Amino acid sequence: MLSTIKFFISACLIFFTASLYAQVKKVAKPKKDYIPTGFRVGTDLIDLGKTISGSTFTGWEVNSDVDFANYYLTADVGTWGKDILIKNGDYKNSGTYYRAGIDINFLGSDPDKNMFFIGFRAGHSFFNESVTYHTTASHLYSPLDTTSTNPSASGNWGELTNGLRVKVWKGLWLGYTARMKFAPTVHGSPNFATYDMPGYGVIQNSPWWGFNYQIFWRFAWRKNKVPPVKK
Amino acid sequence: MKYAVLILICVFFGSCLNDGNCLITATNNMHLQFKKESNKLDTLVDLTTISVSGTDPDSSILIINSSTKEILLPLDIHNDKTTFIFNYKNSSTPDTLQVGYTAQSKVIAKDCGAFTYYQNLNVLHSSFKESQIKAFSTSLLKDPTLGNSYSAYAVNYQIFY
Repeated sequence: MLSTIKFFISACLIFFTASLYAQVKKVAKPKKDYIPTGFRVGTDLIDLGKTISGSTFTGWEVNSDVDFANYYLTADVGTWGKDILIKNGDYKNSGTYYRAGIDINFLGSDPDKNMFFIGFRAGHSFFNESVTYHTTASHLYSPLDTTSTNPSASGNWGELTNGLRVKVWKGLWLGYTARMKFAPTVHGSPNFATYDMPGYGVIQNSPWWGFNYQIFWRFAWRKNKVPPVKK
Repeated sequence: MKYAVLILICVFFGSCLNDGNCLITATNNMHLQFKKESNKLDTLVDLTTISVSGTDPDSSILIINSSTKEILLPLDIHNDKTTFIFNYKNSSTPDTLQVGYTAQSKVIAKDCGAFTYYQNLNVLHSSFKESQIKAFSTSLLKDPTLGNSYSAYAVNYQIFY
């Protein structure tokens, strides 16, 4: 008789626990709101600093993203020109590049929509490059000054990104993006082996890395739905 | 997920250590080996001189005056073809070999400079029969770690006598 009562009480406890757990689960998993709440547009301060302070690099970059819950669609566009003195001559390039990709925000429940993210980008670049150099050949031949050009080259690459976006004041945001760039491919003149691709960097280095310190302004058109706080 | 972040950070720092090497593999020397047609083994060829086109003055001569089983011939860096005329010790009939090629400019690194790589080597004209010439590498390359020995250069052609 005692064992029957014990079994009945245990069964009731399991039933009620299961019912409560099911209710908690329903509350903990609200339906995600994938409608964008605004878009952010900004620029890379490092590129601007390098352009102002040095003579070997000129460039700028515009970054943007739009939110779909904790997923962000991102797009960047920029220009990049280098004039580098090499050991036996001079190398120059200039071009335009863009990147597009997705970031995943791991601070999805933050009411200010601050971000710590990991993402992926696909990059594409249109550029030209030239090199002038002095060659001293072995045996018989007089030295040669060579000028070689790669006038309409293009290339692609991929990026794994990691970064932070922090709301500073109203629509003002600061952040960084660290990039691991990989799998560069270039199409251009067969008489020129591309050295530096705008947006990517030195082609021989794969993977290669990049870092942006960025300032943004966020244009919001609707309020973010704050997820309910667990009690 | 924290492990994924950790791995990503490690890869970022690993990439920072990936520094370029000043390894120059460019050369304008074409590597020929001489072989015996009957058994395909190395053979010594008695060369007196080799005339080379495109040099200054118009035709310079490499003085060999010895028996050799292989030779490095410098391609004309000012043109896309070079003609070599082989003069033998034991024959009054010289042989001619004209080769064509393309040049590719390549910046190795800022501190190393730029160099010309010669590629797509091909025989344009020759007094050797087609069966006497066997092509190997169509690029002129040198392994800088092996000094100036013949073995440092990629073999471009074998010529059978």
